[in-house]
Amino acid sequence: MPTSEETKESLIEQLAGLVAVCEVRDRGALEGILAAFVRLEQVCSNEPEPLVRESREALAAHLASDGVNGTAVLARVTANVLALQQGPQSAEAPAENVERDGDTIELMTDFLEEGGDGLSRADEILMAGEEGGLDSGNINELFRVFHSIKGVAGFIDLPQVIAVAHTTETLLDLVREGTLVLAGSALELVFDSTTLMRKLLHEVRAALEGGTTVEQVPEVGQLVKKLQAEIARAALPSGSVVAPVSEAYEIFAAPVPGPGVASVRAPAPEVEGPRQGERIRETLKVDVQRVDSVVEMIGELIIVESMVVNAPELAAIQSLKLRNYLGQLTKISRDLQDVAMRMRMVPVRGVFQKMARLTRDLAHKTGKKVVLVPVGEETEMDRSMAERLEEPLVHMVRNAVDHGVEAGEVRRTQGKVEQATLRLSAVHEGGNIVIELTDDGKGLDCKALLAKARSRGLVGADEVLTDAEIHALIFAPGFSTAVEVTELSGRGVGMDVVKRNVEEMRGRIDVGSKPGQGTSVRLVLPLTLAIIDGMLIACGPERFIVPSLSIVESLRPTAGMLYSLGEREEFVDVRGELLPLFRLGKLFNVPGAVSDPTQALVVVVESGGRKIVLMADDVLAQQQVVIKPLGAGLPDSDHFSGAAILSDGRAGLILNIDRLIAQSAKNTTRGRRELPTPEARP
Amino acid sequence: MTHPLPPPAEAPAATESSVSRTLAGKFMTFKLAREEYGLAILKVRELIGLMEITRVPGTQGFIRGVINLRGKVIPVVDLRQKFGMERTEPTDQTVIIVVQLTTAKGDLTMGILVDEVLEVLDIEGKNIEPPPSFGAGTFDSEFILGVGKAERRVIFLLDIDRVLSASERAAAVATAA
Repeated sequence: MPTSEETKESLIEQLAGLVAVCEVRDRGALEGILAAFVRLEQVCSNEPEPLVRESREALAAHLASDGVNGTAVLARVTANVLALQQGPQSAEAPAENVERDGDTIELMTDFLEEGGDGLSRADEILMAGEEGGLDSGNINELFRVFHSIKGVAGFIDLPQVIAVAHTTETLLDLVREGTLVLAGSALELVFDSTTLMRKLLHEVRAALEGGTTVEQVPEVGQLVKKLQAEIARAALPSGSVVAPVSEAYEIFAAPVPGPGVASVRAPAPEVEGPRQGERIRETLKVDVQRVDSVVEMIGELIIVESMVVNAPELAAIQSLKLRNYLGQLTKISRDLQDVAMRMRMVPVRGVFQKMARLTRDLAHKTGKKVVLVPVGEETEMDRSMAERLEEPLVHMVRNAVDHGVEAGEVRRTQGKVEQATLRLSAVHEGGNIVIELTDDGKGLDCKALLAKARSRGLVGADEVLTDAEIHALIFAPGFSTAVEVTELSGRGVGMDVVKRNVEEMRGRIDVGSKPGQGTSVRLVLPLTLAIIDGMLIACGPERFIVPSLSIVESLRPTAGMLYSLGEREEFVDVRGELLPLFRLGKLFNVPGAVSDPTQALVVVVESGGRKIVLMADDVLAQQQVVIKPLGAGLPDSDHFSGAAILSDGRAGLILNIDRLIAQSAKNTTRGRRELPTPEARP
Repeated sequence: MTHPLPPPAEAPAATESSVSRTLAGKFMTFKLAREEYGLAILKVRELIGLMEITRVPGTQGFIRGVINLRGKVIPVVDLRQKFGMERTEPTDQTVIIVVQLTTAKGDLTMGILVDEVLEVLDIEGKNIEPPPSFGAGTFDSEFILGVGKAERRVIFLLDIDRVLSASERAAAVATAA
């Protein structure tokens, strides 16, 4: 029957709208819902829906009994409506194209952003809650997060989001009333709810970008049912509790603990407002593209500025005034660059909080007690860098929880505190940001690592490696010493991803480990993707840039420091360390490069625990360069990671130290063990 | 299709007219050694005088290097070397034509080094012939869209997208090897 089917659909839709905005104490709204159910029951009288009848009866009973157990009833009704709504829809195509006007898109974009922020805050509160530190202020804040998500989701028609937000809100309302304590399974459910909500926001974003409808997420129904069960359990035994009927839906409604509810946490009076010591910053939303184009233009300005200031024509003018003016110009341009760069900077807090949440979830899964202590959350870095930092950090945290720290019993027998601590810190160091994850676990097992590497042929049977080199083995693709593959990690895809990500960010990674005391992974990253600190080196008539991050030192070798092995391989003895020598002039076929190492300058560079020596003619200057992709259309070069505009306006090439070192590892046999015989000296 | 046996001469004539029609338009003509070449004017972004080119070690010879085009780094291809001629020696006529290419990977900006830029020429469809066959020479006729004629001059009309994407392919293969 098409007509009745149509009205049934529309009635369910109508109901969904009604329950979404209905508040427990709003009698009028509840009556409206009841009326809708009655009509719905009439419409589908020939094929009765048990859910409809159940909802109608529950509502009628609730209204008749004058407001008892309103929360539980409403939760059940909401779940039923959702089930009804999903019933016919589940057969539909999952995503279809929909047209959205500009206003809706803007609204949704804002919603996604604010929702994400709100959920982060919710996680923060919940994690504090696990430690047992929730007060009424926190609960109210938590409540508001879900409440505002629900409110906006109502505007832009996101039934799944509404359902989750609403049911969670209902649960939190019970907590506010004092009927339920936010601990144990209830707390767990709210955690689940933030997780699911993130997933939903993700779906919404995907739908927004793809111009499709939002995909149905099957977990929604399950979670709503679980929440609802929790609500029912909390509301029913205390049947004598009469929910306070206030005229308006007060956010600060004083909780009225019912008799017989023993475990009510005494609500601490808390003044609402920003947390102490925190300054409210005024912010302005600006389109990222606009900021980017400002940053880009300032980059060009800096280049032109240095071209002007360094122009030989100007240098010929003997004027103190001109010097002063140029000095001012330089200073202002640098300040401008700083400000522009800071416009894109965000504190690492967001990423760190996600890691804290991840640690918690992973700890639960593995049954270990682990807590993540963030340090320096206020440290700022480029927004796009912060986004890219997330992936390597996820792998690092996983590794630390799964492999790094021991299970509680093991820790006790070793005299450690049962709860393991991961320390995630961020600090600015020079022009870089250093992110370090330290665990207090068992440390890397050098023997196991080496044995595994040997069995896989990564390291020769008779090779001797330094500890740093052994530690660096964990970054080899597919490398894992884990005995068994767990759900979390052990497949060996973790740390090589970290390494690759960090290299893409032009950063450096170091691992330190002490047996029995823990492991620390240190990422040294440039503050932005766009600018690096580099050394300009000369090789014949050509100029190259070596990223300062990779440079250990530069020196002029004496004849006594040089060794050669056979025809091709040369080594420099740098304070007892024999390092392979790379002649840039020879590698790049530069005409007129200095060929006598004692007349040249060598630069010791390091990556992944391995050092090589680059031989150039001279080190010219240290400068900050704006990285440009090496002209699109050129093949990816093994030797260069990009280009930069030098102060004379020419394009300069940035050496890819990671690749050069990896190449040297492939090409050279190791000279570390057997020093070449003295006869081999040049 | 309905003709059971079309006269053999008719088929090439048909393609010729369609090729010429789509090709007709404005071309920027330039000189490489003694030959004259044409480039669809819509591909040309700008002309710049010869500037210092930074060599990129490890690339093939016809890639002269990269230049700074107002803060953007773009590669420069020596078209003479690309076509198997001698390396371009800079004169005061040498020019870099900045072209915008459409490739599978998106738009690309590249510079091409030519001996001399001549003029912008309007070539009508009737004056364009399909590319001749060069036999097994070094010159690959796949880069030629057609041959234009103007005042008894012969102008090779270049498919610049193809010239440079092919060079990119070749270079990629060379680096991989």
